[in-house]
Amino acid sequence: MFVGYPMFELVRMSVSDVTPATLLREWPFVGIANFVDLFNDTRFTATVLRTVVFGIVVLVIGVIGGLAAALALHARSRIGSVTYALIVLMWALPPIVSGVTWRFMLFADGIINQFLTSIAVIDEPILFLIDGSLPLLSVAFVAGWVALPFAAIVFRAALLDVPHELYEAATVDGAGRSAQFRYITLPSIAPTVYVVSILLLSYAVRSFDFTFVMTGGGPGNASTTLPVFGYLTAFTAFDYSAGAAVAVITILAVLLFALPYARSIRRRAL
Amino acid sequence: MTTRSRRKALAAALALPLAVALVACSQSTEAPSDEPLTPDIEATLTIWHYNETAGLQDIDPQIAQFQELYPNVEFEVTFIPEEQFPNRIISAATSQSGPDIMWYNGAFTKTFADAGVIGDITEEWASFEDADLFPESVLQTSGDRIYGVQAYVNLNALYYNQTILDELGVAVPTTLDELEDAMRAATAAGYRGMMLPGAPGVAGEWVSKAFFTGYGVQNFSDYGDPAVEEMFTRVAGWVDEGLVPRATVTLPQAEAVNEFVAGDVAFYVGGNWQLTLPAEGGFDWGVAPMPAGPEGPAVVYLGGQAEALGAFPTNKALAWEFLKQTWLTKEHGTMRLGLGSIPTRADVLEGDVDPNVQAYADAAANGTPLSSDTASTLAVGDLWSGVLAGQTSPADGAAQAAQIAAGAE
Repeated sequence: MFVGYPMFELVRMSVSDVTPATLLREWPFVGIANFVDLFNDTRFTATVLRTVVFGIVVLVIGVIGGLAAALALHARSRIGSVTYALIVLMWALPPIVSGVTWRFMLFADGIINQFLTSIAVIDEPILFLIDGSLPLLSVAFVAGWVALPFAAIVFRAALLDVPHELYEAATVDGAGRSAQFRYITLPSIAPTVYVVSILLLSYAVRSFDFTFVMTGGGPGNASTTLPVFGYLTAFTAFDYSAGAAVAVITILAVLLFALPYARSIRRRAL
Repeated sequence: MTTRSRRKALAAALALPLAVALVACSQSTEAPSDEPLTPDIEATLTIWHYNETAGLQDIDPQIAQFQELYPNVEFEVTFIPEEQFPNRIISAATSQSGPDIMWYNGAFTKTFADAGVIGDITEEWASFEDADLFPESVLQTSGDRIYGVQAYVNLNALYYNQTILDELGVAVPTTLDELEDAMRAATAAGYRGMMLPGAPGVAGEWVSKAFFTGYGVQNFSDYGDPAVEEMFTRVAGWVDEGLVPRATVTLPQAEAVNEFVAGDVAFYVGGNWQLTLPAEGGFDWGVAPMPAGPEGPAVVYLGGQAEALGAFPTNKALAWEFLKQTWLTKEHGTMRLGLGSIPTRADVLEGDVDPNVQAYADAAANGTPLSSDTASTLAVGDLWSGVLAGQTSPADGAAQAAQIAAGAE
């Protein structure tokens, strides 16, 4: 009821003409016109492309960074435990707090530019939230960075499940660390990498908070992704049906990733 | 539960909200009570607003004042964040449970009128004895009906750092050419030229209006005019030349003002609600109307809160009485003047007025109501932001502006 009814209404709204004037009245049925309009709108297609880029960045940072963090924290040590606790804390921070903090850090006079200038890496501040593709990449980086602890925690659990005897046998056979990682670790945790990748992509496609807080989708539309576009269309421009159509497309994109995940979970259960 | 009974339960669950909605749609939207107004009338009025500081300045004192006249009237005041306000009030209307009185952003008048969530006060305004004291531009209308009124307005003007201008021997600019020369002089002397806010969306469009109109482009439907590219080329050139720091162009006004207060910026495009802030900078400063463009004076939006009734007041006469006895009075206008607001009631601005407030009042005389075309507003704001940040070239910006003009309401 709490999932089905809102979804039903959302889909109904996406195939109707709903404005503030018709919201409280009967919604005229318009079929797929809202979807056709969207795909004919260059702003929407550009937004889809940005969402794809956003997803790839989150995926790369989440998987590679998460795996690196998990491997680093795999060995039991005091520093490792403290670091582990810190990244869990980072993960638990509300996105608004993380987003605002990162926004200030990425300003022209923020701590990151100050640091890069102090070590003579740059002469002029990098305008992370203004220039070219940097606003989109910066927000995606932050979204990926915040998701990294989740990936690290899951990967760490997977690493703990790899039988230690395999590494001992490989060592006896003369395999180095990189060979052990390639032939033992990666194959053993491959299903986990697959599941984490799917979850990260779903997270990226529906990620709203960081973009909204850090750039508002700007400058211009430079960092607008699907959820932000849908929100602005529905709740700022009051084109409820077009906003609903964007939401339906976003949900379909998330389902695209969620269904293989659900199938893999069911396969494991069997 | 069998499959059949489960289906029935699901059908009932889906049908119930629909039925409620149909019943709600069929009900009258007339006010349920027309009890005559007597000092001992008993009622509870609800007020919805979106201004966090309104409780102290504008609502609590007004309620106390009203309760001296009507001691048995109670109030329920609800603060709703500005970005949530339109959707909350439209949602509430589905159950006809909106406020009696509301303090809302006037840009949403047509949206609320179309949605049937705001009260029509045309008749009340026609019989209001002080109606002539308010300019027509502050009446919130949709079609030929009046829905709200702005007792005071918010608008943009040009802040200037008098200390810097004195050092440079530069007069306060009245045209964009003079402004450009003054910015060049300021940057040559090591200062920053101007803070020109370019946040995307509504905030950006709010600032851009003065520049479009200075180039003779008044309405969204005119944005296909070749002058738009000239204007974009000019402001983008300011950023490229360093007269407007690129690093700050996406800051909203709430943050850009801090850069001006820092003291090394010659100019800033800001609002009257920020009049108390520059004093913290320790330099001489002032405010002037936005400089005129090559095609005429700069027109600015008359933004800010508007006062109105909900569509479903428990007692419409009492709710209207509240507006008349509080926010629309001369005393209230005088109080707001003291807070840096620009009252719209003509008899408030008579006599000695702070010169900076007077500058805003002069600009307000050349003001225009906020557009109700929210889609175009958003698109133009994004365009302004994109051009300032260098994401969109002036030529592409002009082409996109022409598309906006073609689809403008």
